[in-house]
This record gives sequence, C-alpha cells and structure tokens, in this order.
Amino acid sequence: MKKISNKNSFFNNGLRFIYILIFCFFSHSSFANTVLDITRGTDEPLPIAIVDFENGKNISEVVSNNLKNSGLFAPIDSAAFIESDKALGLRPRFADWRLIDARFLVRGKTEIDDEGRMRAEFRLWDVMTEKQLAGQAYFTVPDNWRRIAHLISDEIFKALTGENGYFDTRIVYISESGSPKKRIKKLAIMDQDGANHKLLTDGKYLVLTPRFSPNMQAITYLSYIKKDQPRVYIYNLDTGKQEILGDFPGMTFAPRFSPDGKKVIFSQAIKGANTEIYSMDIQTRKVKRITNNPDIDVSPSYSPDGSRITFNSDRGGKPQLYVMNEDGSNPKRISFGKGRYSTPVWSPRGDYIAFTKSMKGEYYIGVMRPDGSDERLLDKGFMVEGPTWAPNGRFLAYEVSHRIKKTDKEANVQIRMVDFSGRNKRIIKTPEGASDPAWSPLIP
Amino acid sequence: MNFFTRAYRDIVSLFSSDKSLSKSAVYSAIFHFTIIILLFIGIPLFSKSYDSPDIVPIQITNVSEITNVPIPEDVEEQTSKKEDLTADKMEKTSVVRDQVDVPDLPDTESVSEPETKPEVVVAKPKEVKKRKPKKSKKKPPEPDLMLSVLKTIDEIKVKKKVDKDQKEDKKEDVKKTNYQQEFDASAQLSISELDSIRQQFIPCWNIPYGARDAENLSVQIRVHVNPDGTIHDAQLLSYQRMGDPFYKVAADSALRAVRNPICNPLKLPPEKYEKWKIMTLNFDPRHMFGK
Repeated sequence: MKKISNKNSFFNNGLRFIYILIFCFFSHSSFANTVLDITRGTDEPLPIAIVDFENGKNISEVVSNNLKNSGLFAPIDSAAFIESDKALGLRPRFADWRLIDARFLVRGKTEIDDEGRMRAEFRLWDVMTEKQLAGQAYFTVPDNWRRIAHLISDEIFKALTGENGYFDTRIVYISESGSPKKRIKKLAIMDQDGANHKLLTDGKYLVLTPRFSPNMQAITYLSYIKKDQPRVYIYNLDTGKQEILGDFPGMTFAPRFSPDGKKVIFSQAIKGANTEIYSMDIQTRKVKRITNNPDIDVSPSYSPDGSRITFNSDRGGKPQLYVMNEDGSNPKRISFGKGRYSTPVWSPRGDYIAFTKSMKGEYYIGVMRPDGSDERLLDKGFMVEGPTWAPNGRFLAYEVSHRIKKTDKEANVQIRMVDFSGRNKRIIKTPEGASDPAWSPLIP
Repeated sequence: MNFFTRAYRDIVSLFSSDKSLSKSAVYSAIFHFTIIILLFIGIPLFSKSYDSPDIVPIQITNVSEITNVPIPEDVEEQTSKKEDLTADKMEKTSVVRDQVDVPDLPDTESVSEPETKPEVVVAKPKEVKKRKPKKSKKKPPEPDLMLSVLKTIDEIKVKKKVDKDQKEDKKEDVKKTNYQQEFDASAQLSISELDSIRQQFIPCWNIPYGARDAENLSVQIRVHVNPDGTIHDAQLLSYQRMGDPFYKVAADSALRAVRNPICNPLKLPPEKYEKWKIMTLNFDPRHMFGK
C-alpha cells in the first residue's frame, strides 16, 4: 500500500510539475505583446514653465535665464500661463500646464524672517507624470539672492539631466583693454553668467593663462615681473591671499592642478634641455620630471582620476595629442587628423578631451574621446583657442579673437561658451575684452 | 662639341636661312602652345559640371519572418462576389468566421476595460447580421422559382452549382496566392504600422541629450493601451538601474513620452487591438548620438 501511495504521490507530483509548466507557459504567453524599439526622439529644448517666485521675481528671472542659456530648456513666456495661482502649498492644476505644452513647472517663494534672513523655497514638478521632482529651501542673507538662484538652477538641472549643474560657478579670465600696442592685461573673475564682475590685479604686470584648482577656490597664473622672467602665483579666492609658487624661466602656460589639488603639472624649457613636462608638489615644492625625449612636450592636463596625463608633443613631426600614464610611461598618440593639435584639456567627466586645432589658416575647438575616437569640431574661427571645461563636463568656454586692425582702440577678444555637442554657442558679456578663460569647480 | 649646342646652332641657322620656314615654325609653335595650354586649363565648353544624382535616403528596417500583407481590395471584392453567389458557401464561411471570432472576444473582455467591450462585441455580430440578410434575400428567390415538381431537378442543379463554385473557389484560391492564406487581421503588426508608431513617438520623446554613456541608456516600458489609442498605464520594466541618476533621467524621459498629450491617442490599426493593447517600448537614445 505504501508503495502504491508513494507511486501515487510521485505521479501527483509529476502531474503538478506539468501543470506548473503549462501554467508558466500560458502565463508567459498572456504577456506576449508587440515589442517596439523607439530609437528617435527630439532634442529640442524642453519647455519649462517658471512662475515668478512670490516676493522673489529676481530669483526666478535668474533661474529662467540660466536654464535658457544652457540650451537644454525653453522657458515659456509667462503671458501664456493659464493657472495664475502661485501658492506654493497647493498642488498645481497639471491639465492647465499641459495645455500650454509645459513639460515641467517651477514655483517658489521667498520670505524674510524676524532675524532678517531670507528663506527661499522652490518646487519642480513633472507636468506629464504629475510628480514633484525636486523641492528645497535655502536660508541666507538677502544679498546672496543671486547665488540662491544659481543653486536652485543647479538643483533643477540635476533633477532633469542626472548631471550636476554648473550655474553656481565662476570664470576667471584675462581682462584686456587698450590698443594692440599698449594692451593692458588684468586678472578678472565673474559668475558664469557674466554677473558679479571683479578685477583681481591692477594691470601693472602682464598676466597670462589662469588655471583653476579642481577642488578649491584657488587659481594659478603666470605673471611677467620682467621680460623673460615668468613667475607663477597661487591666488586663493576665498582669502584673497596670493603666494609665489616660483620663477619658471622658459614657461609659456601656467601650471595646471592635479585632481586632488596637491600637485601642479607644467611644461618648461630648463637651460640645457628642451621643453619637457614636470610635476611639482605644492607643499614641498619638489619637482619631478615626467617626460624625457628630444622633442617638445607641452600643455599637460590630468585625467579626473589622476592616473593619466594628456599632453601635446611634436615627436611625431607635427604637434599632436598624446596620452600617457601619470609617471610618464606608455605614451600613446591619440590625434591622427589633419592639422596641428594643441592645448588638450581632460573633461572633469572623464569622457572627452577638448583641444585647439589649426588647419588651413583657421582655428577650431574640438573634442575627442581619450582613445582618440569620436573627434568632433565644435567651433571655428580666425582665432579660437584655449578651451576650459565647466565642472560638469558638459560645456566649454574658450577665447575668440578677431583679426587685429591697426585702428583698433580696444581689444577685440571675447569668451564664448558651447555645449560639448556643439550646440548653443553664446558670448559671455564682459566689460572689456576677455581672453584665457578658466572655469571654477562648483562653489562649496 | 656638345650635342645640344650643335642642335641649337642647326635650328638657328635653319630659321635665319629660310624666312618662310621660320614663320611657319613660329605659327606651329604658337598652335602647339595653345593646344598645350588648353589641355592644361581645360576647354570651358567641355568642362560641364557633373550633376550628382540626388541622394536617396534608405531606412533599414527589420523584416519579420512571417509576411502579413492585407488582402488587396480587388481580391476581397472577388471573394465577396463569390460569397454572394453561393448562399450555402456563404453560410459556411460565416459560420466558420463566427467560430473564429468567438474565442477572440473573451480575451478582449478579460484584458481591456469595460467601456470598450461593448464596441467589440457589438461590432462583430453586426457584420454577420448584415451579411446574413443578404444571403436570405438571395436565397428566397431561388426557392420561389422552384416548382414542387422540379424539386429534385433543382436539387441536382444546385448541387452542380455548388460543385462549380467550389471548383472556381479553388481556382480563386490559387489566384489569390498567399494573400488570403496568410493574412490574419489579428496577426503581427506590419512593418509600416510599427514604423508609424515609431514616427508618432518622435515629437513626444525628449531624449536625454548629451548624457554620459548614452549608448547604455535604453529603457523598456510596458504600456497598456485603450482601444481608442490612449495609454492608460505605463510600467518601467528595468527598475534595477534607477540608482544611476543618468538612467533615472532616461527612464523619466521615456515615461513622459508615453504620457505626452501629442502621443495620446496613438494612431493604431483598430482591427489589431489584440496586438497593441499591451506593447513593450524600448526607448534607446544611442542612435541619436551617432553611435
């Protein structure tokens, strides 16, 4: 009997197994449906509705301007708004916002508390999915309203692109004035949108090629105290203090920082040797030679992880771009296009290297992958050069100079910005001519 | 003496001795020179610019293994004529159709919303009803003409007719080639239909432009579509990567696309509702960046 029952249970189990199999089969078939690959969409700027902040119209205007300048968003004219209720606590009437084709909605308000501090609050809504994507409140002194607007812009940018913003950043550059023969060059700084402009040096000495530290608000720059005597300074923007890093005869570009900010890397023609690449520990001032060959190696730039260096060398005949390990080993040529390549800069995102290229009498700003693939030229002109990356690795700023005429009374040079895909070129307005831009990291 | 100097001297003496010869030699030199120049520069008359032919853009689409082409109208007409002629056959076909339709209905009932059920249920019987009266209209005249005495003869005639029709039908079937044999309204969506859906999503989907690793940001979304083409539910199938901010943005962009008013309702072939009531959409931005 037992045997039979065992057999039965085995048989039952077997049947159950088959039932389960059949069930699985049918349950799967019930989900069988059409599978469709959607490979094309639109890359038009996203329509976003930014309602004037309660008691803070100036903030919402800066936010709107920032998002518009990024080229990724198209703020909708407030005249088109149907919903007039600005109250932040209430849930928006999404149908009204869908009617005007808004994909996102930003609302906010500011208040001044009893102690005189300003409280700024905003919310970002997805009109299609009717969800809140971001919402934050900031406390600060009222004079800081512009920075609050940049922080809100960064928060919105991050929520909608997945990437850190770049609005709460500054650009340091060389302010140029006077005729070509009597050109005065001063170190200057401004917000990325051109506001809060400030001069850092008085123009007594020639200053060149400022470089930002990637993790602190400090810059290095080159200054000529005497002819043929370039001196490198480190300027701390927070404290306003500056110190001499050293005199570097035969140097043409200021040193660049390593990603951890502890070292600088530079090229220099030391007496008896040709131009080679060196690194220096900022604290100990100990110099280490990285390249050693009979050709000219210049303008080094670290990868964001600090493990590799991209630089420019004429060891292949013409100036081309190379990538080597941090210790100088395993150099590999990455640029193989026509023309001459120079000033490579590794993106903070790590995925691209920006460069200047000259070909057939014209200059180009371009990007390529660190392995040399996917080379794209983003802008060209009589003279475009010296790209610098925004801290999110998505935008580039560079110098655009026009043909110099003897009749020129002022410097005809500007800073232009471009998306790394080549879209959305725009000039950053400056009081005087502007060259040699260097983009700061996000302000801590 | 050098060969060249001697030759030069000979030529000079030749020219100086005979004036007419020197003249013709000059003409000949000019003539040859112009020919050489023309060959060098290119004669403007013959240097017509070559018109390059227009570029024909070709889009490569994947062809499904089974062809599913709808029956051309004329073939359909022929079959319907046939059906009209033969009442018995018509009845048979209609019965067969009913049998096919019936199992379809419960499916739609079980999955789609209540609103749409009536439409589907009513629509199909109506077709059958419409056709049935036709048959009945044509049927009666035949019995009317028949006399009770000639019943047997008529029966034979009808049999013959049916036989004939069946034979003709067989011929028709051959003529129809693959159309009717393989076309099934509820079968897979055709390439053009799939492409039409793709086209409709283009303005709705704002791609995550310039995102890092765009080649790895494909997002799968299962959508449940109402019979009127509006999307009433969308589920993300790949939640695992939502921790990655770039993936989250890509997923959000795809979810926004299916909820975009421009894409609601979608234009879809109503007869294939079974095939598009649930769709898996794979939003893949890699091709937008030339990857």
